[in-house]
Amino acid sequence: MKFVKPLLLWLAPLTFLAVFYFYPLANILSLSLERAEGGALVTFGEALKSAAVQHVLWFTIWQAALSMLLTLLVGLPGAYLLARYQFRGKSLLRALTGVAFVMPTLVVAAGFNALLGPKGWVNLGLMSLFHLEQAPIAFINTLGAILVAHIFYNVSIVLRLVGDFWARLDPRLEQAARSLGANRWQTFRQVTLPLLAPAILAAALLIFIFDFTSFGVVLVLGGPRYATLEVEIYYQTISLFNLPLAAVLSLVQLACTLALTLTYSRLAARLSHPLRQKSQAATQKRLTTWRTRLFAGLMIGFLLILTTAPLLALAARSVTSPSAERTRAGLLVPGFTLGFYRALTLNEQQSLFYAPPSTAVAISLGYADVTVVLALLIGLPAAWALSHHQKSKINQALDPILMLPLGTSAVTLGLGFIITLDAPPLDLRASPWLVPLAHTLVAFPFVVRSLTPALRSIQPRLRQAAAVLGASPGQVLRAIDLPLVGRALLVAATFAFTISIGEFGATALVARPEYPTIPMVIYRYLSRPGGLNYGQAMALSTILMLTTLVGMLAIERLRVGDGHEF
Amino acid sequence: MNFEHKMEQLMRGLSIANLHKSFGETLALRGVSFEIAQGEIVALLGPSGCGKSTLLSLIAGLEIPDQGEIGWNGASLGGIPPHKRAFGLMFQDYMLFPHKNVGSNVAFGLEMAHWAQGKMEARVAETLEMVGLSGYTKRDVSTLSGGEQQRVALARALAPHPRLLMLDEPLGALDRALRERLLVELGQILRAMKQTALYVTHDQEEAFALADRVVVMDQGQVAQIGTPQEIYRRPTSVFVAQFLGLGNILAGKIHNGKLQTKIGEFEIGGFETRKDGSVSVMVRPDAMRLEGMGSHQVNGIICGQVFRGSLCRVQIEIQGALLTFEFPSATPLPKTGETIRLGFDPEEAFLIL
Amino acid sequence: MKTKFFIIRLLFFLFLTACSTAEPASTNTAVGPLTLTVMVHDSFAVSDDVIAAFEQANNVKVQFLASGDAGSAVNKAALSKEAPLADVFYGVDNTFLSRALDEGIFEPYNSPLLEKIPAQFKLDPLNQALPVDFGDVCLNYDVSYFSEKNLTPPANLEDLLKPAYRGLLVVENPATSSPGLAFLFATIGHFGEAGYLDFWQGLVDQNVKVVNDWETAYYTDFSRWGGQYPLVVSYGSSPPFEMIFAEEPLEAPPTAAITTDGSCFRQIEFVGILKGTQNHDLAEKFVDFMLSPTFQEDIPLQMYVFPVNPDAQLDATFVQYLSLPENPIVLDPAEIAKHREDWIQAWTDLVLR
Repeated sequence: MKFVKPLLLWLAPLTFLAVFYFYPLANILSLSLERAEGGALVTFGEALKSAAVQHVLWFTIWQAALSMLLTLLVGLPGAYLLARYQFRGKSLLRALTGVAFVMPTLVVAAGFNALLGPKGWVNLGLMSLFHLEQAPIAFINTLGAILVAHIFYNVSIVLRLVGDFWARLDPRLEQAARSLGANRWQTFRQVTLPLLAPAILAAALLIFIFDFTSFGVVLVLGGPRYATLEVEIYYQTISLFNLPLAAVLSLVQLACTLALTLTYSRLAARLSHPLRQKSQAATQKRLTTWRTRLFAGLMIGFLLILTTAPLLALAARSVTSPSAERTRAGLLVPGFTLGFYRALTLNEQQSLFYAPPSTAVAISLGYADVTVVLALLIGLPAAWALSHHQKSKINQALDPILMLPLGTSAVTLGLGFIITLDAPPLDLRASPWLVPLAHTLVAFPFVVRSLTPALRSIQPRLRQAAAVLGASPGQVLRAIDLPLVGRALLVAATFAFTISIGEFGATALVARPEYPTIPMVIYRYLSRPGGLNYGQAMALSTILMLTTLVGMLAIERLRVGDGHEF
Repeated sequence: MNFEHKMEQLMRGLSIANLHKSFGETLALRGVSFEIAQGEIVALLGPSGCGKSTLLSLIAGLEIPDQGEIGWNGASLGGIPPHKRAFGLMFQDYMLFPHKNVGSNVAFGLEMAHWAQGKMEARVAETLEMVGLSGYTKRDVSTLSGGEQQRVALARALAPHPRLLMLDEPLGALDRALRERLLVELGQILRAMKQTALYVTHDQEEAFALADRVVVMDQGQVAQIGTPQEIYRRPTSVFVAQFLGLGNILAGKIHNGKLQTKIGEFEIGGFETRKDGSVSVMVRPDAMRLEGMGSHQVNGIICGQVFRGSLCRVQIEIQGALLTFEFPSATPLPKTGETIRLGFDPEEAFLIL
Repeated sequence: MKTKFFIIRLLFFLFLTACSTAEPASTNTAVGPLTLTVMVHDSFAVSDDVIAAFEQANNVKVQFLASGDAGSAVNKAALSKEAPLADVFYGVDNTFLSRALDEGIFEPYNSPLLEKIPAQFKLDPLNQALPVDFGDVCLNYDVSYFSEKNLTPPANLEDLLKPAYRGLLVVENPATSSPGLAFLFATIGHFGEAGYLDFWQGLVDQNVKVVNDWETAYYTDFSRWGGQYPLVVSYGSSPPFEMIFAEEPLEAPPTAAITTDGSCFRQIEFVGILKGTQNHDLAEKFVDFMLSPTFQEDIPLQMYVFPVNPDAQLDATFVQYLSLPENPIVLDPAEIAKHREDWIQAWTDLVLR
């Protein structure tokens, strides 16, 4: 019985992973390794001994670790603000910081360039302020750019995962420490931090894996001097067609992900404690003293600048006429125009693949909806099994595997998808379902990671209480767990939604050109010369931002079971 | 200022003067003042939402008052953060740190005060022994029963020798038998240590059993302060009387020195000069005797009886007023629906509020 | 309300799915039009009336399968050669041609239209891969920068080493960018295997800037778009496209390409019939169609490259502003395949380390 229950829960998630992840991955890896001259083992040995590979691996690890630490450092005060204080525009702030998460790298790079590039606002401002000849800040193609972009992308993970956990942490635990003589810092170190540890760990793991497998940021913002494993895999696969080496590197990346996740699971099991959860309303205070107002003001300002300034630069660019901007005088009044938005709605070239913005938005939203439903459908039972049968051997074995899709090279998996899902009954090669399926693979680990801490923290006594009152396991789920994890479900849904809206790497490999998503259309415009094309890319990027913002605000509004039920 | 006065101030302990606190639109406290002498146990009694918990937060320094003063031995505590007040606070649901074992929980306050390791261990053991949990040091707090958790919370709060121990509904979550046993033990422990304590509860039995003095609160204000006996014998307002379960309230009028009520006109000494116009009259539940006893007689119809062990609680309708009285169980009472004739002494039975 | 919106979106999506499954891939039955699947890279585009004309004339439905960038598409075709995903594959260029030919993914097809196509484009003597279009990777310069500084733009690759052009050039990394690789090939073709590294050493001494992708080089670093470098590696066709896709009509192209002999590399894109197709006749018809003037004339404005069929008429803007290099560099695809990794590695060691 103990064995059967978790196994039943695992049925859907495992079937999904087996068909859409392990099978394609195994297929492409074995196909690639078959091509190795002298056998796979030789290739392995050579790759691991190669100084170049070691160099790439080392860089990949330390930049990811550094990015993760910085993101946590930046995100934790923000998470505290969102968790403990009630203020106007909080949902908007939360949604705004999340928009970054979906933006395609090339667009974000353009945003950072408009802001911090050699002719960006900051540099131009500093130059005119201090009468400098040269741009004082060199940002693009530095290590700093990689780090800042990683923080930009991932800080919302901290805000969401840690912030939401924190919001449900009883503030009286901290008050108890204070009354026992602990100052603010001691209280944070000794009580708050250890209790937040499961959520922080979950966020850290996701961020690390994201940064560890970073591709676009390193490629575009880091420049040619930096390469992660993912970049190297892409280069070996696409440019050199060295599939055996690419497969070996993919496996190294997977092994690292697995090792990391194993460490995480060990730590998480040790660090999570049953906590009585409070409703957010009960834990949140208004900003009454000038100190808290100052802190909130600074924090909100900082988060907004970090996560929205590059995006606002884009939005500004989308309504600015470049011909006026071009004048070499430096700072000038740009000409306002809606021409790019108008051009978006015209199929000037009568292209077969033309999609008006409304269609691209509808397609993106459609894919996102299906991804949310699929990811929750398979993520919930997995998270459920993980949190309810913690000591089960099956869980201990399966838990780390769930994170693997995130640690898998998009190129490798994309090729695996194409060559595998091409025969009945799963002949999906031309099906629009491929896109949400691929998105679900990426979203799935996020869903599980955001649900598990919340489910784990529900005191078993509550469930037992319900069971004693005559509730069947299904009723316990509906009456106790669902309302209690409502907030976490929303977080999970938001992650799935945003991942789907912004995904490009896998989408480009499997999507039908007639049904382009917004990022696909943006790339189409961005890869062509001409002011109109560039402007349209910026305009559509702005539409993508707004779509994401509206979508996330809508999810925030749903508020399944948050608040009074606790 | 003479020396004696200064000494008195030093011994005074906690003083609270005219505290105001509001949260947005809601006024939580509206001018609360009282004092706690050192070594005294004061109970803060009131229904939920009366501002008890807010008051605790203010005293502990977790919240800042809008107005008013909190002092210790005459020195203001304004601006002193919670961790420097050396006040202990024990929460309703204990708030034990789930990531620390029993010993670490109890040792927490000592660590914060940088106690030496050996001294600390001794103190932890001593405190745990005091609450009857010797040998629990290494236990995980999630394995403890409710009563055990409560004791650990008490030990944790007591360990650093707080100048003042505040207990917020500490027995609220426990079953009745356990509650009564722990109440006695708690009293013994606090008195043995001469611990100054502020005990917050909505349960008058707890307050009366434990406290030297009781502060009754209502809607952010102090309704009455006094010893348990004073409060119970002489509640000064309808609210206090009703809150204490003294619910027999009659509307009355003072006219020509006489008290006029539904159940008759009475001359009561000592009241004529104090009140005029309409008044509320509390009729004590234990004031009625059977016919023939007391200076006044009145007829009533029995509407219901509840057997309560040593007592029998009887609802009696007298001249259209429904009143509840308590009789010793052995009293031979008529059946429900039958008439009963009662005797009483107004001076003893009535309290004009 | 929100649920409703959600359901509408879901229905919309299901509708999409239904539409797509209604047209089975490559499975041809007697009823209804046949489906021809054409695998393309993500830069592929075509006018809808052009395809509609083909579909109507042949009673066929053409379904396009996008497969990522050019390199990914070739990989995809190569890896799925046992069970081909499509009937026709368009988009392999001369830098990847050897990979496709070595993998043997194509069937030979001697299209009658090949006669018209100049020999310089026909790199595969077996006609497994048939040329469709070409584009030249050339240096572009910012016209106004040079006129404002009264500086003559460089005339050829050698000029780039002159002190006047120090710090003016941005190029793409050949390891990650297709034009970057093409430009490396141009220098190899021009200076020979013995001399190209010396040239690059010269460029490094001249402070050449390297970025990873065309988008960054063109839209971030090129001075036309707000950067600091007036010289960029882009396409020979970029200047006329700056005219056509200008936000406001321009009088003259703001950029120009340097097309002197030996300074550009010519990329040629090919189409081929995938081995194992069930629709051989239709596939041949489609290849013929791609080489015919109807399709060829549609190419420039859709894909920003140029037709190989001289019968195709070019848009007036191109006639006026496009300067095609007389003698671009063309390397043997077999040579490219053989040396690609070493060349890139040598370049990386020299320029990036």
